[in-house]
Amino acid sequence: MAEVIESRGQALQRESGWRELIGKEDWWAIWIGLGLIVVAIGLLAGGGSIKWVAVAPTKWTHVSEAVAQFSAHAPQYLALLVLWAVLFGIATSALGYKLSRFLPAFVLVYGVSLVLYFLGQWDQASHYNLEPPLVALALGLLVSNTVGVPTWADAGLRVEFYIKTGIVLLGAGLPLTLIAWAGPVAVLQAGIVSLVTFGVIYFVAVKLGLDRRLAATLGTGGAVCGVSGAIAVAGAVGAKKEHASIAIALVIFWAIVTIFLLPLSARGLSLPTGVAGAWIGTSEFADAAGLAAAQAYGGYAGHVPGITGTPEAAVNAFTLMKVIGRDVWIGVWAFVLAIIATTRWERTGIQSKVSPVEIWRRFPKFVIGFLIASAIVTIASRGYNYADYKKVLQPALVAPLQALRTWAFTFTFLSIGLTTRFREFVTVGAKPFYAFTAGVVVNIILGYILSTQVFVDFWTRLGQ
Amino acid sequence: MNPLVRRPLGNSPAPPGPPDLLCGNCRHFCREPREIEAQLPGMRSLGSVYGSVRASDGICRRHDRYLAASCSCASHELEPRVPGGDIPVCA
Repeated sequence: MAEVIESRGQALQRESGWRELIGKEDWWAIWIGLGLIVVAIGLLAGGGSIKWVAVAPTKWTHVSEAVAQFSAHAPQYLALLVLWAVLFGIATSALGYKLSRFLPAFVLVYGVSLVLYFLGQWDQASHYNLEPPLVALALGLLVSNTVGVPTWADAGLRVEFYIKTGIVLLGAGLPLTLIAWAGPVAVLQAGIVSLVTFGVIYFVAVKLGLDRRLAATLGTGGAVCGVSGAIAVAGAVGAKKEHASIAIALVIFWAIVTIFLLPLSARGLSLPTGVAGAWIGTSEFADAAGLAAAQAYGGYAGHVPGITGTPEAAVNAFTLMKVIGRDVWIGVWAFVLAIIATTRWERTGIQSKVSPVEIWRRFPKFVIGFLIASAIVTIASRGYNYADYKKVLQPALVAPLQALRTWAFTFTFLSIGLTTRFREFVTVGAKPFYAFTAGVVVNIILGYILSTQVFVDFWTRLGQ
Repeated sequence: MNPLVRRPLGNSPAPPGPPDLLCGNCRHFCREPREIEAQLPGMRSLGSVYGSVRASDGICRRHDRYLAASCSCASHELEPRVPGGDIPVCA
């Protein structure tokens, strides 16, 4: 018996140790994202480029042009499908999915994403508000909540995996110097909003008589990192299963609302792209939802009168704010709240082992990939002057990696809609709804003030 | 360790159980990702059971709580060994 117990203890340790390198999607996002970047740089060094396979639609006016464009590049689109299917297929197999289930589902995701990507390149898309992220999301929501999604397609709808891969690739387009310059402001702004939002949700929830563990789970979901923040803290404080479900449902509901609300509000206010990206990064609840909103807003640049800045600025500001300013602190929130739960709150009959190691265990590891990607491309671009960067590095390295990133994001946005099935959500009750909504209101107002008044010059400069 | 951290750690209501009698080894504890996904509706939409932030958390079926595998309680029951497997799975 002792031998059995010992082997199980070791097994658990192994699982939380090196096994995580192939057992968690954060690490797979790093392997895939960095692998693509290293291959791209290697090809560039050898006089080639990854751009043949990193194919993406370009602007078109008439449908016949789009069809002709696709026909001309059909082998490349097929090669790209094979590339993504192999990379994601290996990863999902390691995570426990059968390849035979993943592949047909992914082909469906890729096919629909291809249509949406082309649609976004229509020169009248902005005029009709057909921003690809919002169209992908709306289409997915419509299908999943009406006719439904066949169960065989579930294996291909990996929202978080796709978004993490996209964020690692995004690091390739952000110089490390920019992250170092903007990071502290992002941390400061996000820190203010996170603390205030958490305080509001927690205070209102407790005042309404809700369990403190539920209050903390709701608070972290609203203040730090949406569903990821909610489940990290739910696990750390030992919340009831039902409480985790309530927090997830509320986060998703408000995240979906704000995907549409924030870009449209920012558009109505004609905010520069960098400023809008910072606001979305401060006030959206989830990475995937926020990137949909930020990318949609970036698409307005140059198409909607009065909106200044580059399309990239919205996504860059969002990422700095959300990933650097908020996501990286999940482990700290979980650790601190676990201590408070253990020492201050009512007993549950369960003993928790609180350790600072928890901060690392719950650290969203894909952020490491994002920073390494930035460092690699920053180093690779050393020695290029601005003219050479634009002439050589941009078309052969940066643009293809941006295209691959956009693909990963499109898979994400479609998957969000197709996995959000409102009828599956638990009934949350009025009190949790009021508490969370109070935090949403304060979060959006405070995020707006900080982004458009207090730090407006900073975020505007980022967009230039 | 910072005294502000050490103090509450030292005041924990009860020490965790022996290292091998943790929730992660208990037959009531479910850590299988797809089972957790099924029990937490919406989890797949904007979150993931395969993410680092979940660490090795799971669902305790006895207490109906979502908690860390490193927790322990008086109701611990060792998971029967699964042939060919070295990690406890959901019942």
